[in-house]
Amino acid sequence: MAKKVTAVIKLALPAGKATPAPPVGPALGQHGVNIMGFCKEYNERTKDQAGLVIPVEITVYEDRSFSFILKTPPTAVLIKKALGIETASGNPKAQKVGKLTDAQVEEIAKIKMPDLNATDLEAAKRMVRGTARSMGVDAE
Amino acid sequence: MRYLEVSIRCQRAAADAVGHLLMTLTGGGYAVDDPLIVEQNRSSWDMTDLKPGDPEWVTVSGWLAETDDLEQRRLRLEAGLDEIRALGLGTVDPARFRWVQEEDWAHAWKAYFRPMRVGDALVVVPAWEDYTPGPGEVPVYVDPGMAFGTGTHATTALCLRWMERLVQPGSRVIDVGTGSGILAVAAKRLGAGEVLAIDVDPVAVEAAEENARQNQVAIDVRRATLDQVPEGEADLIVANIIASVVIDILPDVVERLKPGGRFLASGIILEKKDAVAEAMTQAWLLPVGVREQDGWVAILAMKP
Repeated sequence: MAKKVTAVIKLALPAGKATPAPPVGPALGQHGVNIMGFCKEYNERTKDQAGLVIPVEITVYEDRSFSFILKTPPTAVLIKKALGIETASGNPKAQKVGKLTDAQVEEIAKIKMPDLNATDLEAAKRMVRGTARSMGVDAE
Repeated sequence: MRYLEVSIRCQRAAADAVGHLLMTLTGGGYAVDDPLIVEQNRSSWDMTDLKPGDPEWVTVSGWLAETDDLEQRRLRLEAGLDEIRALGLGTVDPARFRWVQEEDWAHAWKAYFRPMRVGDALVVVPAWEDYTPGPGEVPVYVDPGMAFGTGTHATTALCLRWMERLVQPGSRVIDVGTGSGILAVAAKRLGAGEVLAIDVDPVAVEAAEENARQNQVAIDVRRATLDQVPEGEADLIVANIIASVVIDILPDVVERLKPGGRFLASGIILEKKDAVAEAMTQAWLLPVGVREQDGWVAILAMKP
């Protein structure tokens, strides 16, 4: 059957831990999507990546059925993973929590290029460095 | 409990930093309204009214629970946004706020699904409804999960109404692209003998199996395409898919129908009606009826 798409929703959620609470409830509820069905499926597909934030793009169809695809973790999560840190700085200007090498910046930039809509690798690297600075992480 | 919904429009390069800030303040996830998703996916969608916006801008939203330290977290949010602005990642608009009342989100969506009479006898009933069928009514219980087909859409309703006339006691029926399995279940409920439901999507196969169990009917559900099904056995083949797929499977349909068997094709937009009917004729299927609803068409054809 031809499927008419009525909404697309992007959520960044802790892997394996989606619940009907925000952001899932208010974001999907208004579209009449089976929220428990979504949470169950998302948690099942992300359970092996516990501790990461895995964004998901949900496509909602005219009859309120849906499908979704998982995306790469947000830049901030990849930075924390690269540095092996749990939390970012509460005061990014004064308190530094780590430093990314140029190779690490480039690796993250390559992963995130499709999502950043960056035209070239250098532009993507600039965005990664900026996000790093907002977390109290220096970047080469 | 209430939540303070925070929405921040910003340039794309700042989105991850803003999202990360919201996560640290909410302890949960965040939502992103991203016009790029529409732009990147439009070509693969069958149809949509969604318009691609300016891909440079996104809106990031988070929900702060109304707790004692809410004002403190709101101030940290404002300070955090100022810091992101100072980094020169791109423009970050001022945060917009509104209160959202906590709801029973886990179950609220069920309000969209009610028992619906679709033909003279068939009533599509959400699986959780305690429904007592009236005289002559044939209920089909459906648990709307991810898969398509809740009976409310015109293409499904067209099929269900026609199937009330076409399915005879003991009929052998094949449902191609079964989705939720609603048509296969309805066929069985209407008295069909063997019913085979096929789909290429594993999510659909699972949903169809579950819905068959819920209706306590025996349906052979397989992850397969029609060419993988034995030839020459069906009294009725139903395909609620899209026009191009209906046309593609016509040779396989003909080989799997008994002489005098019927093919009910739905999911066809009005503009494609003639193309499908023409392709049927070329495949040696005789179109014998057309029904229309809300810009959708179902065509019934017979194998001579």
